[in-house]
Amino acid sequence: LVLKITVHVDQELQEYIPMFLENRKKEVSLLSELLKKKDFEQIRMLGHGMKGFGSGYGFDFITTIGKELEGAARNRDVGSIGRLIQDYAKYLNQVEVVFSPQEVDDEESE
Amino acid sequence: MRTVILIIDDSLDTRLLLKSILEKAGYHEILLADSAQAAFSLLGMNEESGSSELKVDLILMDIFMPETDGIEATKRIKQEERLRDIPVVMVTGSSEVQVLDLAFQAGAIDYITKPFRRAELLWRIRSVLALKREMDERKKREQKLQREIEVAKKVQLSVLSKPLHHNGISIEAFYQPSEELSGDMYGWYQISDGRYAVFLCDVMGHGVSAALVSMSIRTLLRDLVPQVVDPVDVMHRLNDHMIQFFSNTYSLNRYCTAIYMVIDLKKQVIEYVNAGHPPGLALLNDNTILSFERTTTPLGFVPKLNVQKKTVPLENMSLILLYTDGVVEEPGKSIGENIEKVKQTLREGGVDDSQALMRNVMVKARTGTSSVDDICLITIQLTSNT
Repeated sequence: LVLKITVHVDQELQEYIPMFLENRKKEVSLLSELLKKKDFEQIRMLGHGMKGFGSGYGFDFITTIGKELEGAARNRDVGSIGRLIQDYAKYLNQVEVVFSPQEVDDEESE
Repeated sequence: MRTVILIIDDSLDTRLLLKSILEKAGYHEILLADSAQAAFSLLGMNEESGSSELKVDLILMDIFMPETDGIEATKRIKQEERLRDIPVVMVTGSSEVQVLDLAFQAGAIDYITKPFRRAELLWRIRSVLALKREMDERKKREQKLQREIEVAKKVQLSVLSKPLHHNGISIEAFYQPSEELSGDMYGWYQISDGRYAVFLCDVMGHGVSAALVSMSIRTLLRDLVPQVVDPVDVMHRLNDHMIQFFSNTYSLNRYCTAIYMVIDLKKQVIEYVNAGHPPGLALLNDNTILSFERTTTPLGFVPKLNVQKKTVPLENMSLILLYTDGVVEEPGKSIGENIEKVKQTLREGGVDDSQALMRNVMVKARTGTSSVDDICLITIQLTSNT
């Protein structure tokens, strides 16, 4: 049984969401590669970006992970970065998007 | 109203998110740039001519971008004269004070931290756009006012008397308003063969209001002088004019100092009235100076003016200099001392040309020609007496 995480996304963003989620999966792969190379600066920049746009689309968890990745990269904390990438990948596997006509800010439910 | 918003952000996800939010809020002309360089191209900054038809009302700028960051990009945009007024709002993931401080120093007007709430983003944008519209309106009003002042300046200059060179007499002026318009006004008229009236006034204050008063005096004089010659009568009429129009409860009290003289080359006399004006100066052939001192108070103070006329002989007089107080008034300096410097300059002579003489007076009476007050000088060369 895979626990689904439901995310409410503004209907206006519907056309962007497939590409958005596709790019997030690529991001997980990229983060893993960067960790192998210990390229903390690139990881920090990716985390910074995730922090910026995540909750704007309705994905608060991406913003949270992004913020933590940014901090962990700044501290060159290999262990934490690894765990965060795993959490990110798991989240993307569980996430289920529901489009809503109303503007929904900062709401996620499991 | 058509509103064009330019989003500059290296993150495609952020660009698309902002675009979607703005479109939903009714802003449909959205431009996207994935880098500062792409934005410069859109704004026409890379073109040699620097001209672009594109009109942008607001820029949303990311700070951390590869190559040229948002702070540097803002600086560059603000350096362009035609783009300077576009408000730049930083949309940034950083809340570090030093970074934001640099952004504001570069010219940003506001900032929004990512992740942002949509409502907050839209409030900020509406507020900045409202301010931009107000600034644009104000700029238009200022430009219109400036154009009108330029026309008014031309009108004012056009009514000033042109240099007069007749047998036995030459009259010229140097005129320098402190602002676009001046409260100083002068004029000269040939009353009859060998008789000339010369007038110089200085309306209190300067700028548009003083210029309007001085123009009304000029209009009155133009009609008055051919009919009324006596300086006492002329000053009474001018005083009545000032009291009637500029000393009531509906306008600021205005007064003016003035000097009016009638030069009679045949009778070899000058009749004059000095209404609170700096003394006119005449250079005599023995190199002494005669002063045309005050004979009454400035015009516009009291309804019944006690006007005294003075008559002085013209013989032995080679040059007369009239001037407004802007020539001899300097902060922290004595007017008396500066008038003495003017007298000394007249005695020293050394120049035949009236304009050169007036420039000499300006330089020697003051430290330079810059002034916070209007400046006017008139030279009357009595060529048959030299």
